Amino acid sequence: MHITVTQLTKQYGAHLALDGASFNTPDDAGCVVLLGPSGSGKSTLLRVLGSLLTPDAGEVLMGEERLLWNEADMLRQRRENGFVFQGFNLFPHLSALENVALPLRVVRSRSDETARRTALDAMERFGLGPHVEKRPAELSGGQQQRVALARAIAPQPRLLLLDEPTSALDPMMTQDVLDLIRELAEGVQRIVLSTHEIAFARKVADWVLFLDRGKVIESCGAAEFFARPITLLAQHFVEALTRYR
Amino acid sequence: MFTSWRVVAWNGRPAEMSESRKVWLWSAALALGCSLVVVVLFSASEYQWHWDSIWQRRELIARGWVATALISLAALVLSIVFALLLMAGQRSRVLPMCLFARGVVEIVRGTPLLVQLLVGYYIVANQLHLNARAPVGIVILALFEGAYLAEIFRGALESIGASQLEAARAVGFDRRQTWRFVILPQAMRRALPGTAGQLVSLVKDSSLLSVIAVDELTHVVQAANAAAYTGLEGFVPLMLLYLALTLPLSWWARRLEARFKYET
Ligand SMILES: Nc1ncnc2c1ncn2[C@@H]1O[C@H](COP(=O)(O)OP(=O)(O)OP(=O)(O)O)[C@@H](O)[C@H]1O
Ligand SMILES: [Mg+2]
Repeated sequence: MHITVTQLTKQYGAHLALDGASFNTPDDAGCVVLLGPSGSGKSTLLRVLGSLLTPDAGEVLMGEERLLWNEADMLRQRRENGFVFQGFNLFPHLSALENVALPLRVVRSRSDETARRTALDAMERFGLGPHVEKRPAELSGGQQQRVALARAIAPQPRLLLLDEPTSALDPMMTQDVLDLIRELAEGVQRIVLSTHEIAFARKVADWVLFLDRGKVIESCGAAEFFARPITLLAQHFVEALTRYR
Repeated sequence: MFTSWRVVAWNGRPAEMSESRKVWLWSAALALGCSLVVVVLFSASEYQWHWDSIWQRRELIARGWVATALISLAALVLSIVFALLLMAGQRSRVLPMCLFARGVVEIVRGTPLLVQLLVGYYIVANQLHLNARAPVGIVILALFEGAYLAEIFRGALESIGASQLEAARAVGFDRRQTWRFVILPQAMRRALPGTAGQLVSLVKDSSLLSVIAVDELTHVVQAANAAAYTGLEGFVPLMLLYLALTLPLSWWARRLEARFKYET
């Protein structure tokens, strides 16, 4: 599924978070990675792609489907995606299992039994077997983020959107979660993710989008990007982030 | 440090006396000591106690106690309705609604319940030819507690952060599902301890209904004291009877508080 974005704009007050961002990804780009300095608009772009945020102007094509920006269509489009954010946005009043199973029941109308089975399978897969009945507050950051991942993939989303999924984790937990994402990326799951883990990005990315001040200034195959970034900023960025790894 | 010491005490050699037994023993000792002081104080005074004259009126007093419980219950239900209305009003986007609700909350919280009862009954209700004391008293009491409850509810609702709302959107909940599965369960948990505490206040505040001569516990005991030509005897059971209502409530409130502190 290719993604085509043209002239996407999103303004916060006087500040342009997205300033005419345009790019194309090819059909076979299973894992698209967003890179760029802090504040360059990665989170904003991910939210627009996932229909969580309405752009002020511009167009998004998911495959052949043009995204629409009224509330009902956004809800429908959103329900095709899975999300994981940088903070752990689990529901604190529900057990880990309920966090995964509840959306399956009420959004996807699965039966209690099916929802439970599906949720347990997803959590088992992510090594959460012993923790399914715990509340988020009783889990480590890494475990919480794995629950969030399980919740995102359990409904088999068309697209999985990950916004710096490891930025709130310590290095050990980061490895755990990155391994899982890599496993997903190597499977059939289509992923768009933003990250500052450049070594990881290099391993999983099929396609790289490099953002700067609300614009996509590079959009190319991952191998090509990491071999020779075109813009000076991207060169500096890749160097700076690889220096200590 | 403290916790590790406790762990040792619990898990090491059997501790000499468990924590809860210590609490019970001390409570009993303190209660006994205080009662002694009271007895000594009163036996030093010249006052002649006539408990039998109060005992003869036990049925009247019991009815007053039931009345207080019922009044509290009715006022509780009504105060939750008022609180929800006032909260909704304050959150409304219609400016006059918002200002009205804010104004009511400020006025009610800024004046004593005693004054509200006097003004509400002798001026407002009389003007409207409403002479049923108990219902009028219940409405005024409910409005008073409702104004405080509204603030508790509002705080609970506003404590649900933007990230929870975004998470709800991200898993695909629509507006109704977000309220039902994310906002309300969390807000209710946070509001519950404060609400239970407010309920204790409500029971105590209901005693002020005696100033408009509603036949609740305090008023009945005052009447019994007067009828028996005794000055003070009724006040001791009065206190105990209020405690019989409020202690279980505050125990429950504290348990809720502890439970929800642990959960979030
Ligand atoms: N809700 C908001 N209100 C106001 N400004 C916002 C909001 N969200 C983002 N911005 C601004 O938009 C710009 C782009 O933000 P965005 O979060 O997309 O950047 P980012 O590339 O994800 O940065 P980071 O790597 O730090 O997460 C930033 O300058 C930010 O301050
Ligand atoms: Mg971001």
